[in-house]
Amino acid sequence: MVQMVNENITVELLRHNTWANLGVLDACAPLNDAQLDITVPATYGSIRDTLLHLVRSEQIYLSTLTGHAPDEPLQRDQFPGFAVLREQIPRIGAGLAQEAAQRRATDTCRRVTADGVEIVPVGILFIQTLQHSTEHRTELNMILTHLGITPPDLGGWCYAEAAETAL
Amino acid sequence: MVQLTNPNPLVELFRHNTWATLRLLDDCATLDEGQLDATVAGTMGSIRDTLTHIAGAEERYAARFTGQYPAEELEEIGFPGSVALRAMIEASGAVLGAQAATRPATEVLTLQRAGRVEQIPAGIIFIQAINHATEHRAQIATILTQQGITPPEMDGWTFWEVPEAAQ
Repeated sequence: MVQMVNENITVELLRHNTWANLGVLDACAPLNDAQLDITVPATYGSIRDTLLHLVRSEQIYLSTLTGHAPDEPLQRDQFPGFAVLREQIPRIGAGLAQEAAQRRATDTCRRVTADGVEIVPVGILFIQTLQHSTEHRTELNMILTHLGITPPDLGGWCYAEAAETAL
Repeated sequence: MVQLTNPNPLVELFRHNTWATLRLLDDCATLDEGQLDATVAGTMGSIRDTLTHIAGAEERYAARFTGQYPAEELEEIGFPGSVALRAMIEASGAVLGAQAATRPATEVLTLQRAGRVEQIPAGIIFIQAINHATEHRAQIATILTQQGITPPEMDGWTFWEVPEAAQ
């Protein structure tokens, strides 16, 4: 049974988010190249592209929160392989959880967009992170189902029953 | 532009969660019967059933804190119409937001689930509530898109940019 280690629920939401990201990544890791290129209409794109987009976006959200560029930035349209993503997901997740432990929703950070720099409440970054990753995990699970593969259960109840070592 | 009113990110996460579900519900309220019955492989079911399930599940998550369980689960009753669903989602969202403001993730609740008595940290119920609704909204968005209907934007950036009056 997973243990809640922090009274701050946003920290725990981000720990679940990391666990779920790893869950879907591991479900996709055994797929062959053709399967990784499969998609379902009305989703983001292929499994490969969606995984990269999910993790790269989280890297950008963390960078926005901290104000520091990532040490090893993931490149758009350059799938780095499962080993790199599996190393990045917990690292980014730990960074996001650390930010959640220290920041209030009403604190602000600087977000760089195509139109310039805007000041955004920190709470919006956490909302965006959790919403964005969950949406794309859901799409990945749909594609896995399309392939005839039972997708991983990434819900809170399953998380509660997960072994602590899975985190 | 929306104002984040609470320094607790979890409270803002539930404000976003309710806003996103209502935004999707309002768009789906304009669909005809055939569109409401549409589905896509790998999702829970039809738009109608998925909306009902989101509202029914959130009613039960709220009840886990208040002890006020519905006499009959909404999914057993069936789709009650958009107006009734809207009221239920607003009511459950208010309860979950209020609970989020006061409960530590580590507080253990005793509750009945699937015929068993269980002790579950409050944090798990919040994680389940946020993850569950987001997954099912993403499924409905895919079903809408496959029917040629553009789903509403429900991400954190849009939540931040919408007029306060829409909250």
